[in-house]
Amino acid sequence: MADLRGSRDEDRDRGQLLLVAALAIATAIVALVLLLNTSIYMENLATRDTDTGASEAVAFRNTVEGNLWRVVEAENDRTYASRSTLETNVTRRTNRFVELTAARHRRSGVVAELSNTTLDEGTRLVQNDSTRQLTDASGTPDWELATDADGVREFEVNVTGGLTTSSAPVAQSDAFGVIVEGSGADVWSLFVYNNGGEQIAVKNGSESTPTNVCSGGFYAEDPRVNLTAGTVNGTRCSAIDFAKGTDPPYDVSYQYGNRSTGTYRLTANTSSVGNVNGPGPTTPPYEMPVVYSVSTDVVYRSPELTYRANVTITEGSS
Amino acid sequence: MGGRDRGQAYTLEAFVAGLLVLGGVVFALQATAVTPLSASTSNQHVGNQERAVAYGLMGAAKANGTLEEAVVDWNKSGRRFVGSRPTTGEFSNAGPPNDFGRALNETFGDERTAFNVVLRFRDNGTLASQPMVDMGTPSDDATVATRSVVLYDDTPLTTGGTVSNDTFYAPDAEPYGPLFNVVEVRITVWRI
Repeated sequence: MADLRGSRDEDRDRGQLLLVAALAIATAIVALVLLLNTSIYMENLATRDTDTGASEAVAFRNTVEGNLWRVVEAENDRTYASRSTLETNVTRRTNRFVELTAARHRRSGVVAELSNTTLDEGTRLVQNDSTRQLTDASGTPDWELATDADGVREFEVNVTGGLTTSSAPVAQSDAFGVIVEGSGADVWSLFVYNNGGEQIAVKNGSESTPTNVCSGGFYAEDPRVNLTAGTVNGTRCSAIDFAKGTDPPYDVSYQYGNRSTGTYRLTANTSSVGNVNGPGPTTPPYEMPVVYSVSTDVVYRSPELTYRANVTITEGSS
Repeated sequence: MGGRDRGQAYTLEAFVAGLLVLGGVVFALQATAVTPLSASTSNQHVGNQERAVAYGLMGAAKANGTLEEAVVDWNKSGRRFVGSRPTTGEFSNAGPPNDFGRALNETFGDERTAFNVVLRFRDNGTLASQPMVDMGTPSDDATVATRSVVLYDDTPLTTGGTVSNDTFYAPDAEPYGPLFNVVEVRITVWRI
């Protein structure tokens, strides 16, 4: 009992000590837990997907850029007589294309659309009667096919006969020729003539006289010259480089269209064309309205990202 | 006299202290309770990586044309994907027997990662889907990657003919133009 009695004074302080110690330990553990929790939360934040969906926006744009032209060109090939009908249908087809393409983005709460869409006017000129001379609708031999065209594509002339005989390159200027006058009066021209065999001569913008090009092996048949692709009867002829040395806008004319017969077809980025029939497929030569290119803003708007890119979609972008 | 009451007080204090300690430990365990399969912070890296891999795989497949090839790898007479089981018309153990399927197998098959591939498209104004690979129900931490494939009326099937026929799984969503349908390839990837 002496022990108990002796320890009585010391025991009087132990209760407080225990309480304080327990509280201190508990506070320390709670603080530790909070710290641990914070670090876990920080790691969560750090590894959370920070991708704003930019790759989806680019994927939408790529899909539009890579596929829309095919939809538009199909309408161009439908030979409309009226430009407003063509443009209405191109707009309808484009809207449907975007509706189908953007569907998966819209399902995830994203606005994916095309806005400020403008259709650039173009005209396709066609002569598909191989026995007809390359004159205008009223038979004029020297005439302008397209005026102020910012671009020309798919320009193919198939000369089928009746070529003027020319003995020397200098006389090429008396033969059937395609004359392209750029801005600043630089002229690129291409002549097809007969010099004991069919010959092609080209004059670039910086040159003063034409040069014979692509002889030998090219003319097993009547020359089918693709002026914009640079081929003769399907064979590459690098010397034919459309409008080399000139700058757009181009005025495209024929000279001595009465000295040859043939077919041709070209698409020019202008609505101002020469004396031809149409619009619509009729007696050659005729014109048809086409959409030369589509300029539009690809818009992709999600809660994290607003993306807008202006793209021009035309032949070759698909 | 005082010593006789202090015994209870000590006991109570000890209980309170013990409860505090226990409470702290329980709270700490709650904050960090993760299992290897739970969709939580600890495997977020894995999910991010799988998602990136799936997108990379689809990007490569789209660029080299194998994605489109897999979409049109269709058996017309059997109305199912080429090489799939006649009963279900889909694959359940691995990817389809084409380049896209082989890429899927090489990327995920050896890594103990399961994947579902579903094709979604427009059918008469509603969203329809055609499963290509069905390995089961994804877990909570599955990630998804999608890409679109544009089909035209003249897009050829690998088995001959074009997509414009009645036995293809997707209908012509644009009868007035060359566009046929836009197929969304959706890959769901999860760890097993």
